[in-house]
Amino acid sequence: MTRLPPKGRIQKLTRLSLLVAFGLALYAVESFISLPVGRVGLANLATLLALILFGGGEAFLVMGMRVLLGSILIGGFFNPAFLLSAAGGVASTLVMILLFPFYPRVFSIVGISIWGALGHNLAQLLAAYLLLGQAQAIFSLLPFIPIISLGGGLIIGLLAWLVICRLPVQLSMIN
Amino acid sequence: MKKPLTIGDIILIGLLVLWSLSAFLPRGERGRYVLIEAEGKPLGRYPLNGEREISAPGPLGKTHIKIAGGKVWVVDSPCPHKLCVKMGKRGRAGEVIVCVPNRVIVRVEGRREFDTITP
Repeated sequence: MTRLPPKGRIQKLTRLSLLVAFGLALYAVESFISLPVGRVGLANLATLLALILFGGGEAFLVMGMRVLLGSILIGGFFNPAFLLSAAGGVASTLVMILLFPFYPRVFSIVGISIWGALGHNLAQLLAAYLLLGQAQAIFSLLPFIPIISLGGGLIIGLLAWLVICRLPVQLSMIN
Repeated sequence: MKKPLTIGDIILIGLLVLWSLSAFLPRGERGRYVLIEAEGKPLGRYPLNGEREISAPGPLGKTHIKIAGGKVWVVDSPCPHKLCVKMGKRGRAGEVIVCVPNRVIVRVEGRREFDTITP
């Protein structure tokens, strides 16, 4: 960030802020509409785009800001819902950052996204166990994890792929 | 960037599909009773062979549970994911339906638990 000229730094700051706002909007939409098929973690799209366009640190920043602002604007701060959302966000971002060196040779955007969804759902299950106890009850949900992760990961991954394909070349080469 | 899927993606998707098949494996003996817990406290025990509808109160509202034909299932719940509804009909001893957001737990019990636990 320090090596960029002032104009570049402002541009980057603006673009990261836009990604945070984008993630917040998706988070809000998702918390208002509850489809019968369940939630897919749409807000993860902003984190994934930040990872691909800027890098790991920036992706973590976008996720952290979104979880924090989201809990202040939409849900209560530090209630169980916030803790579950924070655990899911941190885990999915860390998993995606760790696997990012394998992009694009081993895993495509879709693959990275499915890994992120898997990390998100497993961390939420673990957080629910730590909050509520009830090991047997909570881990009986384990067979549903791959189904939700596949559904969510595929949708987010394909959306991210479409966005990256449509971005002007200069924007996708920013870093 | 041209291809949306790589070899690694396809292997990952295949493994997840295999893992998800474990949700459909039947196991255990037939259950006899249904124990419902709401917000950490037991709400009641009901026989599985009857027909009955129960509303379990939770922090988000009421979770509607139905018992009929030797099975128990969640008809409707105010939680966002509706995972408990998607868990479907359960009737084997040891099976559990959980609604984490609304803190409702539905357990199917066999004969043995009936002698040891008294609500």
